[in-house]
Amino acid sequence: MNLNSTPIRTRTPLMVGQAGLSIGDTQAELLVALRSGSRRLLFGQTTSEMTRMLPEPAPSDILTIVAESRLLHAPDVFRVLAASIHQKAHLLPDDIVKLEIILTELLSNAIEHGNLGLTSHRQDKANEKNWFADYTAQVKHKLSSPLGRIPVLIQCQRSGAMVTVSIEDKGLGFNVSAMLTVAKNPQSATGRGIAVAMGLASGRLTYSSNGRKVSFSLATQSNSAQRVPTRSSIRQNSRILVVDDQATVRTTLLTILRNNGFMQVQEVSEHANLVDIAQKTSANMILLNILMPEPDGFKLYTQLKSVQETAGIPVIFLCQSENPQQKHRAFQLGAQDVISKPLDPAEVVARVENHLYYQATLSHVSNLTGQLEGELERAKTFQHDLFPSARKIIKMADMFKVEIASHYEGCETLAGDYWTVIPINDKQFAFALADFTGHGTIAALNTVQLHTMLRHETNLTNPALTTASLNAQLSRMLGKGSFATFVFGVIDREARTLTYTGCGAPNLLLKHANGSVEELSCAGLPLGLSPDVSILPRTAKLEDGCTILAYSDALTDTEHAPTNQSWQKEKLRHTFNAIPSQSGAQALVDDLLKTFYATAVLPLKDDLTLLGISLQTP
Amino acid sequence: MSFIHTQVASQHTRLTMPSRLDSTQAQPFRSAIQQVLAGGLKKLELDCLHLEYIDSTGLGLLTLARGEAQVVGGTVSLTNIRWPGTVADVLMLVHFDSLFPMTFNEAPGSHTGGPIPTQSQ
Repeated sequence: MNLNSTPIRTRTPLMVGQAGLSIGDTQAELLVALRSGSRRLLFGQTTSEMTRMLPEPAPSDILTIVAESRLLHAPDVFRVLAASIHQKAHLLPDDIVKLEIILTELLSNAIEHGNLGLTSHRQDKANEKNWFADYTAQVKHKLSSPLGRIPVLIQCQRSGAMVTVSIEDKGLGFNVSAMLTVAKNPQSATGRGIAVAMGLASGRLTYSSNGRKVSFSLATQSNSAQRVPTRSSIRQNSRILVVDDQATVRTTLLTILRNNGFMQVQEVSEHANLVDIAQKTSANMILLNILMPEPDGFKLYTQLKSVQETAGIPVIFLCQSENPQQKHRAFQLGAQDVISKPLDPAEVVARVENHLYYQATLSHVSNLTGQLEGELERAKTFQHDLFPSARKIIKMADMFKVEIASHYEGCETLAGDYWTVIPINDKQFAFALADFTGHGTIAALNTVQLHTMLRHETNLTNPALTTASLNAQLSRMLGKGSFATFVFGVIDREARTLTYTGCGAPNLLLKHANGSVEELSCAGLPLGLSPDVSILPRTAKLEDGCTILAYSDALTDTEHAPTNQSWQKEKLRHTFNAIPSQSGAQALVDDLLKTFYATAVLPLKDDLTLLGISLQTP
Repeated sequence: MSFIHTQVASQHTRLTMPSRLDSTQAQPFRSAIQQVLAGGLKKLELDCLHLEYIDSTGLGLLTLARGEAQVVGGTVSLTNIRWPGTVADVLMLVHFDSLFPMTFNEAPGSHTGGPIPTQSQ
């Protein structure tokens, strides 16, 4: 879907347009759209910037809004937005007030401080009494100015048993620490908003992008998502629309269904408004007569399928039994089923219930899948957090006069590769790269174990002892058939030496300052296969301007187009040779990856990790 | 529902709070406070039994009311705060128990709400 090429914006208020968007330009329209249950909203006039902010729809999306500040900043909007999220996300019943307060505080701050550049901090106590009137007037003035047209993106997504709401604005961002400092003054009339939001979100509130994006999570009523649907619950809870231009037919169907336990059946007499009604009622099923005055059933069906919010509603057509062509066309269009008139009550009930049951079961499976995906995403974030932070890398680079560059890409959500750099003292630091067998959850859990073990090692200056200790522990812990190729090195910056151990890892590559390349053997038994393995250290001389490369075997074993041959050592060595010797670690890693990805057959079949370390010339 | 004045005793007024204290209630609240203060208040009790929603604007309004009462030598207390409840959570989060005398109204059957907060010293 290319939003930029489709005419999203028209002057028609609240148009349900392409890609299932509700579009409008006023606060009243925004409130109507929120109350009607729309899931994707685009409100305002700065259209090109707003469409760039609008993310592609994802299965985990519950609500996505891009709207200008001037339309979002109002108590009514905060309240209706909270109610909309609460209803869609099935939050815990007591959390709606909490949600409204959090949204009020965060949206107000995102708009006031991020978009409009206002601060509520008052140094002048004489103005304290008038703070609210003054501040409100400022906000009102700026919202009505061009500043108020800065768009804000609000996203609500399901993540397992939690729902995450994020607010991202394209304004200035704001200084969270300054806000928290003001809030510490208990006598102040202002500055408590962020503290309140943080407290109510129970610590699950995070900032990123220099304060331009804020996210928080709330728990859902996950029990309802985990409950397997039953036929009686389906009869009670399904919302069915009956659409026929003949009142007698509508009445007959209502009676049949209600007499058989379907409690939420509604007739639609103004069938031209079917799409709107289906959205507002969140219908689960539509019984739709074919032969009606314009628009007929087929046209209405096409309309339903063209709108994201209604495209997934199953439709059972009602047709004349003496007209088989109607039935054929209905199935060709993709209808769920067709019921012929005159109506057989038992047939109507059976078909309606069966289709609702199948849909509910599919939805249940989809929910469980969504929960699992959410859990995996959280686990992925956790795994990524094991790696050295950018701040740590910068600190080490400064301390040791080195450049450290890395690349990490799992072939599945969770990966079995691991790398780290560890400062030991003011002259020495260590690096490690491991590749556990398999990928996915088990391999990822093993990387966490290795990370924890390394943190507790006390002989980091001695690679052989460290590796032997890790091997002994992993040999006891890893399952049968599991092991890890591993390289662990200690660089002495003063002595300009590398002391390392190799446990079946790909050979290190060392590019010297004069351009020559040396391959450092990492041959040895992988970690975890046998506890009693003699591990011997190896050494190499380094010099300022040299670069070491460690990598996982995906670099040499991935197939490349058009021959489906992998690089193996030869091509890697050739590519490595071609990179200028003074490039530095980052440029070397970037160049290698550029060449790699130019022809690599994707998606990767194995996790890919590169770690480059160059000794800088003082 | 708006703010309801009840004269409890001489110079002791109870102001019953509506269900929400936010920016929409700022002007009515300020007017109600000023009206009470003009009557020679010494003790202002804000009855929070019906209060279900309070945000940072509402917190600021309470702080202002306290400041204005202090100018005339009066005090402001918060009474009948629903427990458990989000309003109670918010007030405790920002340590309003150090600014206002507070009393709580425990909802029936709320056994899972934990102990009612005690006033911090």
